[in-house]
Amino acid sequence: MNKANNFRNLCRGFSVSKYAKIFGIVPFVIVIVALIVVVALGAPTGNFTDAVGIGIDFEGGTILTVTLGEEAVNNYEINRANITNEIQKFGVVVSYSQLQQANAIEKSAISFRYKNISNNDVEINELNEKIREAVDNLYPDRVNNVGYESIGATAAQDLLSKAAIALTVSVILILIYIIIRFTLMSGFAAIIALIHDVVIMFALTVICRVQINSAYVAAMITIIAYSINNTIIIFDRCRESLKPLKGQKNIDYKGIGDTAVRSTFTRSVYTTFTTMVTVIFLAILGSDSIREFCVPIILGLLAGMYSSVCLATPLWSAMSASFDKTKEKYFKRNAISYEKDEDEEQIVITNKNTSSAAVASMDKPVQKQPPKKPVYKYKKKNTTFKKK
Amino acid sequence: MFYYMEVLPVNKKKSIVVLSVIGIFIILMAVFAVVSFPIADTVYDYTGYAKTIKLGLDMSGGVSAVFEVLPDEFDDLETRVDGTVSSLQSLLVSKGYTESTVTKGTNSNGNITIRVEVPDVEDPERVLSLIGRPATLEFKGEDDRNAANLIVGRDHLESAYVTIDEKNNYAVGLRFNEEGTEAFSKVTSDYLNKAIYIYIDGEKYTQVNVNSQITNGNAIITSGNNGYTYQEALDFATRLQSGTFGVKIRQTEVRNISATLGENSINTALIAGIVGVAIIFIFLAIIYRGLGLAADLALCVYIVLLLWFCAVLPWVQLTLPGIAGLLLSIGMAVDANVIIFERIKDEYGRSTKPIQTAIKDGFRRSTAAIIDGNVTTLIGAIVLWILGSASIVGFAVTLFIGIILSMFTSLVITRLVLKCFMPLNSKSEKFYGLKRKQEDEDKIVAENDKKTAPAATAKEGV
Repeated sequence: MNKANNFRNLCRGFSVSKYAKIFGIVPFVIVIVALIVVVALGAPTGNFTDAVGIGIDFEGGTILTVTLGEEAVNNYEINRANITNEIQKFGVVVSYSQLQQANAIEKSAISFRYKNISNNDVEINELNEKIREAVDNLYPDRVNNVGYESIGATAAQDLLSKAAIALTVSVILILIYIIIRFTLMSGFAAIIALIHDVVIMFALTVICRVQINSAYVAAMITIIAYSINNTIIIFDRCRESLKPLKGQKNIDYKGIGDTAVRSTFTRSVYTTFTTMVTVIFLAILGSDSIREFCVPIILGLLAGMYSSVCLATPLWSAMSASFDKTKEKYFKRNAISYEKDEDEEQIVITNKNTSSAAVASMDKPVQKQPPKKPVYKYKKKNTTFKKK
Repeated sequence: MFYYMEVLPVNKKKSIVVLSVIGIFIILMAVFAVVSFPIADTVYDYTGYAKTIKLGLDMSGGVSAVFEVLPDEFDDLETRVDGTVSSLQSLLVSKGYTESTVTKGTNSNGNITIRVEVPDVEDPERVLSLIGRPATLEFKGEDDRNAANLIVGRDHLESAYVTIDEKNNYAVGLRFNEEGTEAFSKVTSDYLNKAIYIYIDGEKYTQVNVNSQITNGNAIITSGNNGYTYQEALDFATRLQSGTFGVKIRQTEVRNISATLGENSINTALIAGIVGVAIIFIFLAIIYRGLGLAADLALCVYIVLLLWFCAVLPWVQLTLPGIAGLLLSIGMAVDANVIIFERIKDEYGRSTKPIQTAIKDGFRRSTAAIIDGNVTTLIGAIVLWILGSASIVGFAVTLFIGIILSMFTSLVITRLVLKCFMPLNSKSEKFYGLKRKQEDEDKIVAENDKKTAPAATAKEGV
């Protein structure tokens, strides 16, 4: 219990909006690193799709079948490693390898799939022929045991476009839902955070050198969905604090946002931990290819938490404040029953020590507060997003 | 919303009964997930439902069949091969093999090949019974293989499937494409009350009588008064279906293939899942004590129900990302509980409420957040389900079930369990891990009060 409290006290004074600018820079750094990776890998060969890591599922490639009979079944791992090693000497990367067992044991084979490194059919054939020879030489006592076949994309051609359409439609529907249940600005802030997640996820994929295949796309979508969920939980706290303030002017959105982040922070950390722990074990225990898949998921979960805590909330407070200002200006200009209020200043909560005595909890009636106490401080500098 | 639970009369006896029922449910579901036994007096065996969860090519391998496309006298072969590839793909998807792949390729002889890989199948013959033996399909007006074709499968027929006629007998349904609808309408009017003959690969397969003119392109074939057996109808439909492919193909090899991620991948995933979940359980029990125990029980219900749904729903074929998605969803199911418990702590700490009221209020105040958060995720899952391509649909379904179950277990089961804890122990702060916040705990009070501060200021301002 004490530990939890100490932990909470630690983050007690933390204000997200204070560091909003620094938080905003991090995603850009990640995207720039990803771009550097793409350019560095793509420039020498001129083939940028390679650098992005579009998987064999989307592009097709070659399947090399090595018939080894009983040897294939009995010493599968050793043979697989040897042949993979041989193939990769030619600069191609083996995406999948698997054991193929036919009814007759002597026909059992190991197959390897790799992406072609050029688009020219003649070059592809030349390379495949070289690989075939090299692998054939590994097994001198077997004749004619290596065959290759070019294969097309296994993923439906429209998978990516369908995923993009689905993403767009769900973004619009989620936006509408959030606007109805929360505020206009909550909707936009959440959607910007979502777009951030998509971009970062893609950048992480590039940086981690994961091959994008159809299933991977699906996993990324889950992480994005969970990130939106995180954002909503924080916005729910904001909505709660805003309820009694409806229709007021100069609402301290920053303060509300900071409080919401602080009061949900324990939950954000616990949830990220509980979602990550199983995937971390999968990464620790699994084979190399499983690990390759898990690392971007773990990073993605962190990015999702980051976007909801550090980006969505400050964005929300900044956008809401400037939106209120614009609305006010519009009313002024059109003189729609607008009366200038005497107290136009930005309300800022002062430091807790001075306010603790004065600020009432929900149970105490507000009027009973001693009015002399310096509860709020006027800070012109804090007015957000002034027009230049 | 959960009114029925408010009226549940709660006393010690009832609590123990309800808790035992939940416990027994979890144990029974867990046992039935893994055990297998022959069912008495029948020829059937019961197989643990967790073992019947279908797995993708990367986790369990399957069967790979390669077909060579035979050259024919028509042009635009490439287009027809592409058409065949996509109709084979949708055929497999419609039979529940969402993770199967159909690939066009070229073999070393320069011939076009079609490679079909079906996950989680051990018998190579099964692939052929799924997609049929691709062949030419012709409907003829006379019992003669050289007679003129009335309907040609690859040009006119869109699909053939098993259906039920008005007498509730199994029958074979036919759906024609636009051109086929027109042709079939003409055929059925010309041959009304006469027989037409179905030829597959130039051999007579069967003959059917035309009973009425069919103009909408949807026909059913019935068999006498008793109808087909399911197997007969399925065989017939599969034969007809395989006649809709645009090209002639010949099977060149059928092989069992191993998991692309290695033989042990499924065990690895299982161990990782068990260890991870165990850590989550311990974590909850340590942090939230009694509340955590309630969440652990609810989580058990969540896991067994999730496994059961994955086993019975036809679209679910677990690949590595699918399993990762399930593991993530267990983590997210905890989330709702954490949100509620943090609220309960808050409610209890800030007031003089008894534990029971604090728990009730904690649930009430966090319900909106949980529902809103999950509905947004749900919107994403439903859109993917409707608009996504085949391999994503299985994933969207898993996500969908995960979200619904997580809402159900956290809002209903956790609450029910806590309600049952109440008569047994309603006063122990220690057991529930709750604590009143002292007035002199300046920092904490200040932090809590900050929330209400903007409200107060704005009111003053006006």
